[in-house]
Amino acid sequence: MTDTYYWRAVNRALDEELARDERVVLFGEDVALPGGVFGVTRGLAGRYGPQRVFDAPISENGFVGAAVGAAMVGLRPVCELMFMDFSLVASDQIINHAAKIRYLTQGAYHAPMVIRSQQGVSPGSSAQHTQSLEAIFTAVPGLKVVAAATPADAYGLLKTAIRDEDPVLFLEHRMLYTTKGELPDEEFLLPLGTARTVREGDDVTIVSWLASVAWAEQVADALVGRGVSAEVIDLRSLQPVDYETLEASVAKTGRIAILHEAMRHGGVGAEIAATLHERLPDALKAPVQRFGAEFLPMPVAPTLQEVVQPRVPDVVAALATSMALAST
Amino acid sequence: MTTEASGGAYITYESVIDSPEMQPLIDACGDLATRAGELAEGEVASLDDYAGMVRIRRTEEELSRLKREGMVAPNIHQSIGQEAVSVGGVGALRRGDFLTSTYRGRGHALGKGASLRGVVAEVLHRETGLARGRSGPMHMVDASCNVIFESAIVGGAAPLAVGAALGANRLDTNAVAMTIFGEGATSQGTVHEALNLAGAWKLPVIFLLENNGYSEMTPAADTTALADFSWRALCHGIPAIKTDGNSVPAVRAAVRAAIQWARTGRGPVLVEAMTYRLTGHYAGEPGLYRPTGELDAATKRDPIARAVHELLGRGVTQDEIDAAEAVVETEVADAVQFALTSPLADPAGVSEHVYQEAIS
Repeated sequence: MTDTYYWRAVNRALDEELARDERVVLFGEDVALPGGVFGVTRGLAGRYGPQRVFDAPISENGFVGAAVGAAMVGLRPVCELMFMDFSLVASDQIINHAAKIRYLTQGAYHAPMVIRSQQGVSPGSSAQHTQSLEAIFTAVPGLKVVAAATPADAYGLLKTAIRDEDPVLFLEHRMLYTTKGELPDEEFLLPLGTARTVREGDDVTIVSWLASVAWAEQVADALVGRGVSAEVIDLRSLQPVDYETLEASVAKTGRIAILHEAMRHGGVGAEIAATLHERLPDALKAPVQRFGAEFLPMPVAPTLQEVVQPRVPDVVAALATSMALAST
Repeated sequence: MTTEASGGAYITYESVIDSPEMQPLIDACGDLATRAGELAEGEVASLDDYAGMVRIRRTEEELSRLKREGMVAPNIHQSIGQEAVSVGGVGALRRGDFLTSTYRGRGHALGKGASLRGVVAEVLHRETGLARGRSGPMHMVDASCNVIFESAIVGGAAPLAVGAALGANRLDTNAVAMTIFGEGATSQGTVHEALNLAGAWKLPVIFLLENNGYSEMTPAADTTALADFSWRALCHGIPAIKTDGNSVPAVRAAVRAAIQWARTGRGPVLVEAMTYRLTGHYAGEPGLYRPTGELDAATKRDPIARAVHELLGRGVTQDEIDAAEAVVETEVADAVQFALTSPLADPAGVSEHVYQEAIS
């Protein structure tokens, strides 16, 4: 067990999968010689050579489409979209092609590929470099969407994603790259489609993913002082959603809140909230609460970013109100 | 590439064409044209070529008839008049080579060896169709002959061919990948991105540009300031050749030259096949945008009529031609009968093949 940076956990997963399977190829903008704009792929081009790890022109739709074709004929491509915002450029090949190949060919072909990207707000990042766009892609049948909040999850889920037989959009978070967490030294895989209970609690469930898992933990910490025991769940898989874990938690707590960095309006939280209301009309003691960014393009000035993003004290206050806790 | 002049550097036509960087590309175009000429020398359409084209045309005509009779829900984008590209161009590929194409791609798939019964049944929404009736007339696929995808997004399948060529290259199979698209698709970013990627990565991709004169319903000339669509390749550093897309021997020779080029590791080639769509953008579309006389003139260049003329000219008898046509008629009738007697796409399986695992 080693305390490891998130970026290094991603790098180790890629390294091991490149070593394990010759069909794995890695390409994207600046991933080879420069080692990635955030350094995540450093060292891999040197180790595996230009046939396996290579740079792509700035041509997201083109090279994602090339990954689809390569996957269909037997490679296991991992391609990197430098920022999740650029997925919109590649959305034709992701949504119209990668996601549809298996269905339109009725299984004659499929596209076992991983699209790695990173998203989220960092201080001073702009409206075209901050968007949390998971809701768009979780609405597309044929795609799997994974979001890793810890180094161990990034490592174990990415390895599984590369071995998966379907196209996987693998979401990382820019602000998490330099966070650390424990990573076992021995190899392991984590199954896709399963949530992770970060901490157990009895009174309310808080569901989150990526960077906002840490915010959810801060909310839970703050609630301890109010006599509330909050359960925190890291969803990890956004498509499919592990409703089994969510429903079991709600059966225990009776209350659930969803906190994500993406906008509250049209976010994945809305779908989960509606589904839980449909499935658990009796177990819920209160309506599902949703927290996310304001319905605004993300401004650059950090003082503005702060008011657009969901804030921990607001979440604590809203939960306290709904739970009718006495103010302290 | 630049010439010094008072007031600064500027680009001249001569400085580009005469530059040492441009010469290898110009030479490559010349080599390919020469090779295509050698391969075409003395070649004429065979009885098989004729039968192959009639097979595609009769299939398209039958499908259009069935559409009119209410047996087909979506539009059918016919390729009538363009059969020589499918028979000569696609037919030049090996079975192991990969093909991606467009929604006007039934002829292409048949040229590659796709099951005729499977094609017709797919268009007629049958469980026995190539994709069990899920995909319809715009997406033929047949893994038995590596027709890997036909996209209904204009230009959408071009990057897939780049990927297939990447796979062939890395997996060392010596296969090439062909992608077919119309001149209209050359205005799409995906086609340019695919050309650029194939050039940058020096992959064995044949870009077969099937110029049928119309970008859906807009005259090709109205869609670009460029005088010649094959030049699209040159700006990506890819050699291009043009060929008569209404002549099986001509288009076959050009594509064979391109395949030889790509298969021997020299990178991608664009082949522009000049043809003409003798029917509307889709079955029943009246083509009111065509100038008077254009269709009549084009009909005189009909590739099937030309093949007949060539066959008779070299002593094949009308009886032999009729016999070949009768065989095809029987085969098409069988495919239609097969489809019409097959079960319609089964709702019980509507959610299969979305993911590897069944959707719960």
